[in-house]
Amino acid sequence: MTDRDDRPLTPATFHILLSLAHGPAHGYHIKRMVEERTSGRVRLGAGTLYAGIQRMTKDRLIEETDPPREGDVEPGSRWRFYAISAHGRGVLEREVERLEADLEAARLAMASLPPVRRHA
Amino acid sequence: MTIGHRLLLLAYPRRFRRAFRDDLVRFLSLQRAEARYLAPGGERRFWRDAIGDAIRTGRALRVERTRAIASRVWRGDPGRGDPRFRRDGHQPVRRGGAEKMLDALTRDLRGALRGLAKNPGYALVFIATLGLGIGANTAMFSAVNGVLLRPLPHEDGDRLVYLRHTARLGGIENALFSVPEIEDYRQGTPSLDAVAEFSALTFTMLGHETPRRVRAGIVSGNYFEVMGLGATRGRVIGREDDGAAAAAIVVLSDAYWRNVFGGDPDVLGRTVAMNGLTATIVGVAEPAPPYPERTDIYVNVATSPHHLDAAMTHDRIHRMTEVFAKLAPGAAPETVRDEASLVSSRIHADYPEAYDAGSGYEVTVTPLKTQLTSRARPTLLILLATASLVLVIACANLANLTLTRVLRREDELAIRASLGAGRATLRRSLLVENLLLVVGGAAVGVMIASVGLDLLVAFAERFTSRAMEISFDGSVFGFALAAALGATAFFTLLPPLPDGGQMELTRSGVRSTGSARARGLQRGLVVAQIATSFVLLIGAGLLLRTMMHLNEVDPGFDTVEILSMDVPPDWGGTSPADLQNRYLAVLDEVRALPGASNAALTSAIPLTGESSFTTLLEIGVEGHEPAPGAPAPRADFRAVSEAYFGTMGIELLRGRDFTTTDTDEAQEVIIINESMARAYFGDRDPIGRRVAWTDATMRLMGEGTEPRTIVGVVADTRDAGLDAEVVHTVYNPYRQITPFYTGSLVVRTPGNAAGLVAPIRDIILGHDPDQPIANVATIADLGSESIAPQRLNTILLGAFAALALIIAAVGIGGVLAFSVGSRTREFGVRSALGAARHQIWSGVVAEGARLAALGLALGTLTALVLARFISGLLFGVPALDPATFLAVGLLLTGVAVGAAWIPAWRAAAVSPLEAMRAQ
Repeated sequence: MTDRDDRPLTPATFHILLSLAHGPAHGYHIKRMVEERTSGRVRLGAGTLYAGIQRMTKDRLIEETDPPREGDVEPGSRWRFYAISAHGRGVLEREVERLEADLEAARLAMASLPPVRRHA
Repeated sequence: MTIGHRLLLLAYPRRFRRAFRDDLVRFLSLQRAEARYLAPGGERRFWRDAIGDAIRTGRALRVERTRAIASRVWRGDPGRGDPRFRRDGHQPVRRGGAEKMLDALTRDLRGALRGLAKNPGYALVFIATLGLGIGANTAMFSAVNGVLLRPLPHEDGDRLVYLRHTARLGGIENALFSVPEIEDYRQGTPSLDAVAEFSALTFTMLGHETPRRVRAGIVSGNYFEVMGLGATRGRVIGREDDGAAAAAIVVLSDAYWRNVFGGDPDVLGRTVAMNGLTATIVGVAEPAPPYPERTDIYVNVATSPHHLDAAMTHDRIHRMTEVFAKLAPGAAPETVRDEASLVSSRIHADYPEAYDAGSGYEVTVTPLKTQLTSRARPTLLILLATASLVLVIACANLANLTLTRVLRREDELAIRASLGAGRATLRRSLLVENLLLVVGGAAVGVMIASVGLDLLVAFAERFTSRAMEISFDGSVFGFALAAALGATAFFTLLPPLPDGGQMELTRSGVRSTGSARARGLQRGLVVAQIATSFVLLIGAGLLLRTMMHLNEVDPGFDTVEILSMDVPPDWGGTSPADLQNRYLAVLDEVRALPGASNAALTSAIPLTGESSFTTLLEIGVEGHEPAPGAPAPRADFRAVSEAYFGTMGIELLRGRDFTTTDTDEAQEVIIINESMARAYFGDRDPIGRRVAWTDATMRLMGEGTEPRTIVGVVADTRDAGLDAEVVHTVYNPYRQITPFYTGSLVVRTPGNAAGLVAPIRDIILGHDPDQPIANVATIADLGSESIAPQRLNTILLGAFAALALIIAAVGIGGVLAFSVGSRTREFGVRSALGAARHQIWSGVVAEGARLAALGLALGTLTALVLARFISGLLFGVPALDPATFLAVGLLLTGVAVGAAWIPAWRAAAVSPLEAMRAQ
């Protein structure tokens, strides 16, 4: 492990991993999940999403998988489906731990701030 | 997919687009539909977002990819994405020796390609020069291989020999054998396994399309067995086909079957008519080079009634037959020669009347392969030598190019050397670069060779019947490849390379001490090029002079406006008197044609190499006793009708022409040519003197041997070809001679010769629809055809020499240009110090002239030694012709100075300022 491993994940990577934590999904499904989860704060364009998918597949964070027989997909579509890998799960867990640690530190720091005065 | 989506996809790198095309399209259409549905103006927002996203991501992906490649190249790391996510910790694998070498090679290959791409002119000149050199050599070697080296297609072809009966002292190159002679030699040569007979005659063949003249070989039953040839269809002629009782049969030669019968598989069993007989086609012979002449069909003796009569089989001087034989295993042609000469002495003593002592009859024994190729050998070898000289020049030039390139890259190589690259590494990168170029050159060469080969076959056909065996084969390709590899090694090892230890730093940068040697080498190569070009140009010059002489030769007759054609008489059926009347009737009608100003019959058309008899015939000249031991006097027999000399434009020097009254009833008369008149009568008037045909052949043909009176003398003509000697000729009036020899028509056509062909044909066929007409040509065409071999020699050698001259000029110019380029500072300083432009200019030109002078001296010496090899191809010009040497010397000097001109001009134009900048 090098020092580069401690760099935070990009928002796109993080959200894609998070979406796939629920189970395999295709590109548009991932986009919808991300938008719902963030209330439209994070919007993934087609290029951003698939560039992320390509890079993450290469880094073995996710892998392409067979489409589910039936369920929440439009019938007849031939989307490519992706699932999180064991390695990806580990990376996600570490990222969440890092975020938690950062958040903890942030909360502590915020608590020691003097209260903010508001001007009318 | 809408056009919009498609345009959007273009923003991404191709590889990415390919991987995700379908999903991207689906994504975009869903996103668009959603945006439209959710809010007004959603469509616009969708496009804005999507375009922005595509451009941003596309650019990011491209940058990422470039970075990945750069870092991989930089670190020599194949790279597997971001190392942060490497679970299994991919380590660069340690590579084995073979892999390492492969790696280095790939790197060198890439480097070489990059280097050459930067210098396309160099690569092009290199590949074109080498391609021409290799192409010329491959084609020439193909020809030499097919004609001179490869074994004959005959089974046991190396044991085949050709026996020739000659009487050289009497001027008879090929006297042929008579049947009794063959029997004597067969008995007397135990070193011969078997002896086969072949006699060539031209027949008229009826029964296949139009009447045709066919060249027939009348062969003994063992001919095919002895020659080791079989049939590709049906059967060949066998021993059972000998004798008068056998059925008349025909075996087609492979070429005749293909060309005339269209390769018809059902040809067997068909009948044709010849000599008033019906003959059955029984087979097609295996292809093999014919000798002594092109043979269309082979027939058995029963097909030629003449071969069965007593004169043929019992008369010792009735010589019509060629003899081929097979050596006993282990026997040498020399042994057969000795055995044959014993037989000769015996029969010469037993039959003195058949062997005129002064003519020197003897039998030569030559391996068939040598005999088939004897005419082609000198020409082919000279051309092969020429081609290899061109390759030498080409290689010298390429070596120079390579040297120049190394010198230009001296700084780069020196830096690489000082950074630790050993000489071996530098050599290897040079090797790879040269290998690339040489392979390219070899490929171009093979292409040139395969194109040139067809031309070369057409060329070689004029010298040997083996030309049809020339092909582009594996050994020839091996030759090209070997030449290419040799050249690679040469170019790689030649240039001296800088070495870490030899580096010295000068004010202007790095300089290696290797360059002085390299420059010396360059000059040496230029001198060698000039010398070689000189030798080639001498060869081309001598051939050019030969051509000029041949074109100036006065054949003794007019060549323009005369149409000629063979109208051969049929040997069976028609009586001599009928035949003669028919010819005379045709002649009258042709003369009456509008457009024909004159016409005549002759026994042989000039310049075709044809004659009534294959040899000169013995004559007796009244008042001329040949000295004892001297060969009997001989002359060429020709039978011509009245007006022949007028039609051909042959000058009548004395006496009169033949007339229509010179018939059988009148006094027998002749006209002789000038050489003969001078030889026998000197200054005395030959008119009224008498000459008799004493040759036994004439007796056999039914001509009288009584003396005939000379009534005229005509100018000499070169009937046998423009480069042939004038021979003594006796013309006989057509009306006093059996018409069997008189098969040709010459017509003077002041206007359009081609327009008269059809009317003349109609006249002839009107008299006999079975009459074949052959070899329709103008005398000018025949003249041009008769010197075609020399012309082709000149063109080929001239092309090679021109190529050499161009290459040498490029060499001189290139070396001087480089020398000038690297001395910019010197010229600048000199002109700053007050040197006049013309001084600098003449210095450079003098440098070129010095190289040229050295090359010329060397070339002259070489040419003096080599010139005699070409003397066999020359006509009217000595091999050491001073004019040719002088002209070529001047030409080469001119080219050398011309090639120095541009660099000299550039040197003179260097300003001191420019020189400072060159620092």
